[in-house]
Amino acid sequence: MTYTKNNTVLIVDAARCGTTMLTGIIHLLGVPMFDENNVRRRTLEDLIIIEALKSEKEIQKVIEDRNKKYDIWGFKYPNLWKHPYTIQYLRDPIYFTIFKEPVSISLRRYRKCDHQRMRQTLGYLLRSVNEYSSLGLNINYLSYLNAVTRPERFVDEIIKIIGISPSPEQIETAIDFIRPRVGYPKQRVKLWNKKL
Amino acid sequence: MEQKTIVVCDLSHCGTTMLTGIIQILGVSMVEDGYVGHSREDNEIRNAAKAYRKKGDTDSLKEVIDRKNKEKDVWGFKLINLWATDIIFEHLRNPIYLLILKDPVSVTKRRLSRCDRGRLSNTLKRMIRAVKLTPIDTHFISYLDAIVAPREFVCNIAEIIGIEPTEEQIDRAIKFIQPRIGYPLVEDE
Repeated sequence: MTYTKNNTVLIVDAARCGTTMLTGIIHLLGVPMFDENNVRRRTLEDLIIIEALKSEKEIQKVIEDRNKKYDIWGFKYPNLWKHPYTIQYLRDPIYFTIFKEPVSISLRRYRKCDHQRMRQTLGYLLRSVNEYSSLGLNINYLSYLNAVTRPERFVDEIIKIIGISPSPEQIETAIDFIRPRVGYPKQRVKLWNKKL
Repeated sequence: MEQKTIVVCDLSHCGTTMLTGIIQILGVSMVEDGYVGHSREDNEIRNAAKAYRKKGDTDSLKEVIDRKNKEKDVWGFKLINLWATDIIFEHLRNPIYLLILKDPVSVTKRRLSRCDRGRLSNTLKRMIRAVKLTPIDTHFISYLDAIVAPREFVCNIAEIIGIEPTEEQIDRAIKFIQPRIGYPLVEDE
């Protein structure tokens, strides 16, 4: 894989919208999105980053270490807005947010989707958008539906935004990773357990 | 068969045309006979609703609904600006309200060509408004389910409406869900 520049890829914003899928795809495309020995396998969150985010000094150190280690790397942390001091240490950050349709989110968040839950879910999504809005970040918004209906195009869009040149095998693996089905995200965890 | 009216609440670019088409294929009359068009909006209902909104004409809408109630036990419609046609709710017979939702990024891209923070926020506000205006017993339908598990989706719709379609109708409805390049131009047959 060749890189055109040094970047940090961040997956932020609403939880339960496909952020794990997106993290997996980017990782499979060759951008380290987590430390493979310290990852929460169900959500693909980097445990070292999560721990370090508790203190500004710690996260600064972890980010600087990773910047030295990789030209391009990234991590997923939906609630990054709670730790705005992190942003200043990121090297040319590229922000991604993915959205799923509200019925699925409501069912995952509350296990049901009635009038009240639907309003809460949509309010939560709007709040997420507004929180990042206040930080003035330039976010690339992705659609989970596009991933499902047109996986090749979806993966290609990510590649172009980040500006990487993954191998055909990496692209194929990333496309294969998009498998929504009953049992999600168990299937994904199974896949990762095989890979890691 | 129990008398009822199926109402596809309109939230544009969220799959209402697809949902209306599916219900029609499952055997519920959703548009007037001889209808030709893409939006699957019933012309008679639409024109009567427009007459109410623009001129305050309540008779036309009542007349159309009464006639359809007499003609069919179960029928339905999709109506743009349903919320601005509040009088319609008074005339519906055992209504079943359905609101289908798609992911807001996809909706924003279709409505406004691109998706930035402002546009996305606008889409979400529209969705919140639509949900607030729907009756409390509205059934929320996931567009994603139609794509991921079309058979379950079709059978779920039939169950909500309370009809028992034939296998042939179910197969046709599944075929009707065909997202492809150029989507959402879903095509019948």
